[in-house]
Amino acid sequence: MRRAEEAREAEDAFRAANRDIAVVARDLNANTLVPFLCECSERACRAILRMPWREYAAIHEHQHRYIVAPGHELLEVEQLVSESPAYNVVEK
Amino acid sequence: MANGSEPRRARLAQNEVLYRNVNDRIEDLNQVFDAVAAIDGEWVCECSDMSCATPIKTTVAEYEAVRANPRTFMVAPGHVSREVERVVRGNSRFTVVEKLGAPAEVAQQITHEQQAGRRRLGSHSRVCSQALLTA
Repeated sequence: MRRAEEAREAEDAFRAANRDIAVVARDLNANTLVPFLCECSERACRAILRMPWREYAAIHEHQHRYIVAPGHELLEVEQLVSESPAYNVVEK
Repeated sequence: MANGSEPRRARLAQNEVLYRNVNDRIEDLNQVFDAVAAIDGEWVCECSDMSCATPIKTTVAEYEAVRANPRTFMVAPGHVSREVERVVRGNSRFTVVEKLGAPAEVAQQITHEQQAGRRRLGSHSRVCSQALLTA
């Protein structure tokens, strides 16, 4: 139980960080691939995922969806929504 | 005639600012997850190559020393763009570069805008960020 809470806490922290990154990218009107952080449950993970900030914002509109590096899914507690070579989307 | 390479240089500076922004968030995370990387942290290279995500190991103090000057950035050894920056110092783990000319102004301006934005958002930044993204 404690481990699940810690995992959720990590994912939410990564997600909050990515929100800030997306806001800055939007303010810069960045038309490039923007570096975001993997939102997996591993606190030590610092994997970088690149996508247009609008793409991130569209995923982020779904409150329970997270972006993770391929292979960083925790399938016991989350469902794989989409896969790509650059990143996967999971839903809690 | 305006220097045709200025837009490119500005774009390179913007790329580095985007990676600096990621590193700032990593620093925030290191503080939140204070058991991880409180002494040695892992950041990402702030070079102008958008496909680069080379990890750089530094102490928090080293990172903050670079970050204190909006014109200086931390890049992996060999990742210096000599057309827009000069080497300030370096070691086997990372090189500190300083932006030159217009890119320096771009980097400084963007950093100031970011800082002002974060101050405006204050403790409600998370909520405001959400609203901004969905606006």
